[in-house]
Parts: sequence; C-alpha cells; structure tokens
Amino acid sequence: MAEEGQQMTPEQVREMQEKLSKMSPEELREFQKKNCIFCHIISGKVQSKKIYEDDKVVAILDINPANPGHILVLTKEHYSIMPQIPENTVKYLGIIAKQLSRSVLKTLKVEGTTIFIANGTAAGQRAQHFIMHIIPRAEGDKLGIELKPGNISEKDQMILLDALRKKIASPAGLNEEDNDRGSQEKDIEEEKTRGEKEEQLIKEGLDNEKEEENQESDDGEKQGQEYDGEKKRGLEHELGGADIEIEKPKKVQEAEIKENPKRINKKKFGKKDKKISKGRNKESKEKKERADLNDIADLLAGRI
Amino acid sequence: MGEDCELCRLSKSKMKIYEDGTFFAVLSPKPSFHGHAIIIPKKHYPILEQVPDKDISEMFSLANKISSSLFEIMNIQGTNIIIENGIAAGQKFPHLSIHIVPRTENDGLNLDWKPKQLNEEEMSTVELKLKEVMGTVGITEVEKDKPIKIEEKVEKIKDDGDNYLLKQLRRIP
Repeated sequence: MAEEGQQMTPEQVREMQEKLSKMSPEELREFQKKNCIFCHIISGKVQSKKIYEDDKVVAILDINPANPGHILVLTKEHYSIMPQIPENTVKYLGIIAKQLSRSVLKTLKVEGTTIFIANGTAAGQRAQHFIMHIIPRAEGDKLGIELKPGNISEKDQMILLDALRKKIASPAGLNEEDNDRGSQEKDIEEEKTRGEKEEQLIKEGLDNEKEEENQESDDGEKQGQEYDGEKKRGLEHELGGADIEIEKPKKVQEAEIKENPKRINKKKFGKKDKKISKGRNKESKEKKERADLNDIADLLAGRI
Repeated sequence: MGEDCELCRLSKSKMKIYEDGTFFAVLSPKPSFHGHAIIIPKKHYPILEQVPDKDISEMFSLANKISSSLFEIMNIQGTNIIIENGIAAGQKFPHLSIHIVPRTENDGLNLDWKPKQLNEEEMSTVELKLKEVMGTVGITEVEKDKPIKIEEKVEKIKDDGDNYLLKQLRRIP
C-alpha cells in the first residue's frame, strides 16, 4: 500500500521543518493536501484501480493487498482521521462498508470480510489520508488481524465508564450536536489538525483540551445527567422522522431551563471561564504546533 | 439467539456506555486494551449485510464518537475500529459487533498484515468482477423526506333546493 519514496537528507529535513514552522494551520492543511498521494489518486493525477466513485467517497483496489480484492475506501475530502469527518459522511461510510462488503462476498466468493479503520500511526495508519479497509477473508489465511482477550480490573473499567458516559450523550443529545456542528465545525477542525500527531499532542494537550471540551459539551453534560430520564424519550425520537427528532430535544431543554433557573447561572459562570481559558489556549496552541511540526516533517520525509 | 448468545447477554451488563432502541455500547468484558468498547445491535443480526442501513450508519456514528471520546479521556495515540464479518474474519459469536480498540505505541497489539504482491492479470480480473456489481452500491435504504402534500379540499356544494348559496346565485336582480 505505501508508496516507495526517496529519503531526505538531514539538511533537507531541517529546511522542511523551518518551512513548516512558519505556516499557519490552514497553510499546513493545504500543504498536506498537495503532498497527499491519495488526494492525487482521487483527482486522477495518479493512476489507480478505481472500482466505485460518488460525491462523498472513492473506492480503489489496494496495490499491495492483504488478500485479493482488498478495497480501500477514501473520503473525497482530505481528512486524516475519523474524528475530523463530518457526521453525515461517517454515516454514509457505514452504509458503503456494508454494501461493498456484500459485493465482495458475492463476486469473489470469500468466507468473510474484515472492515478495518486505523486512526493514528500507533493504530497502524500508514497514510495521512483517512482510509477504511475492506479485506476479504478466507479461513486459515492468518492475516494477523486478531483481537486477543485480556484482563483489566473492574475498578479501572468503572472509572473509564463514568467518564465515557458523560461524554456520550443520550439520543436527544446526539441529535442536538448534529445541529450545533455547523457553528462549531471550524473550531473542531482547527483542534483536530493538531490532533493528527497524537503522540505529543495528547500528552501535552490533555489539560488544555479539557477546557475546550467544556465549550462543546455543556449541552452534553446536561443530557448526561438526564440520561436515565430521557431513555424513554429517546425511543420515541428513534421511531419518529428526522425533522421531528431535531425539534424535540430543543423544546425539552427550554422547558428544563424554565424549571431550573439555577442552571442559567451555571452557564454564565461557564462562559466566563471560557474567556479566560481561550487566552491560555492560544499560547499553548502555538507551542503544540511547533512541537508537532517535527513529526510532520519526519512523516513527509518518508513520503516525498 | 437470546440467552445462548453471549453478546445478547451483554445487554444486561453493568458496563454499558450507551443504549437506545436499536443498539447499545459496552466496555468489553475481556478487553484487548483498557478502553476496548463494543457496539452491538439489539436484534440478533449475525453479519453486517443483514443490518439495515439506518442502524449501521448510527452505529458508525457512535463508533466515531466513542473513538474521539477515548482520545480525549485517555492518554492514547490511536484507535482502531474493526468489524469481524464472518468466522473466517475471526468473528467469535454469530452476532455482529463493532470493536473500538484504543492504541498506544508498543502496546503489544499487532494488527498489521503482510501485504501480498499480485500480478497484473489477477488484479485486473478482480477489478472487473467488482466493477460489475457496483450498480447496487451507493443506493441507501434510508428514505428521503417525503414532500409535504397540501391537499386543497374542494367542497362540493350540494344542489339541494334549500342551499342558500345557490339560491343567491340564481336570484334575479
């Protein structure tokens, strides 16, 4: 799958690092797109075996497949990792995975398929462009994609569980965030371009990201508290039409705010904190960008 | 099905992250890594192809959400989202599940495969075979919103002798 590139000399790497350090996040994104081999494949500049294309995704055959019929599904827009991809496209990817898997099973007469997504180099992501793999499987092919069971203490699991539940809202909350995406997308995108170099970023960024989380998840926290009460409402939402789902949660929230005026005060305090934290974040953003640019340069060195 | 299926039994687990009418998400009882989560549809679908489009799209959306939440909560450097579709793919229970596995450098999990080299002929035959069936791809089962029909009710006026409206019309000025 990986293209064989020429390795850069240390001097060239240093030059690249200097260039990158002077670029803004938007310029960095453009730079990535220009050097992304998969963006070139999508635009047709580089030859490939395209088997399916529409306005959101392109499916090509892997040149070095794990098994014959190994399909790579690419998003037409350049996204590095799945969290950057908008909600609608993620949903569409699920449907495409199912349909391509069905096609593979029928035509190539294999015994199974593996759908595989890697976010981050630690997960096995070898390219800067988001890829979903659809790999045909045969019994005993010993590909190595096996999840081995392990043991984690229940205490650790419960701590993580509480944190996760708060993050992931009830059904009403999920729809709410779809609506808010339009206004928050730009902020989220900027955040997550940095998120591409996860190694340093997550270690350094955990403290700062928590402050930024408060901006996004104010609504989510409320609904996390209301989780049990809203389960039943959530079922109704699922059964109703798309438009109705979006309307109901807002009305529910408004009603809650009227009943509990104290919450409004909490919101105000929250906003003040945000203002303070934004200032801090700007400084740390710059630091992060510079720190991560070394990694970008190294990655690109392998590609160019 | 039902009680025999271990994944169906997980619907009663204490480790549920999320639940709604069609599917639920739990922390794996035997995690490959701390934070290993599984999304399971409530209905007993054995393989991916049997899950309705609407459900699979929602499950993918949740998988993405859990993946980004894990990034924020834990000190990890990556996540894998894996669907084992079929026994040959390593599916242990005849019930579809989506695995979300957090990853760090040198965590001991090896999910890499060895790429093979196929010659041009083999690649071309595979390409042609797949292209033939691509007509079915891209058509979603999710119904688009139907346009609202505004029915104009035309009331037929009954032509009774008593109808005052008609009487007015027939009045000789």
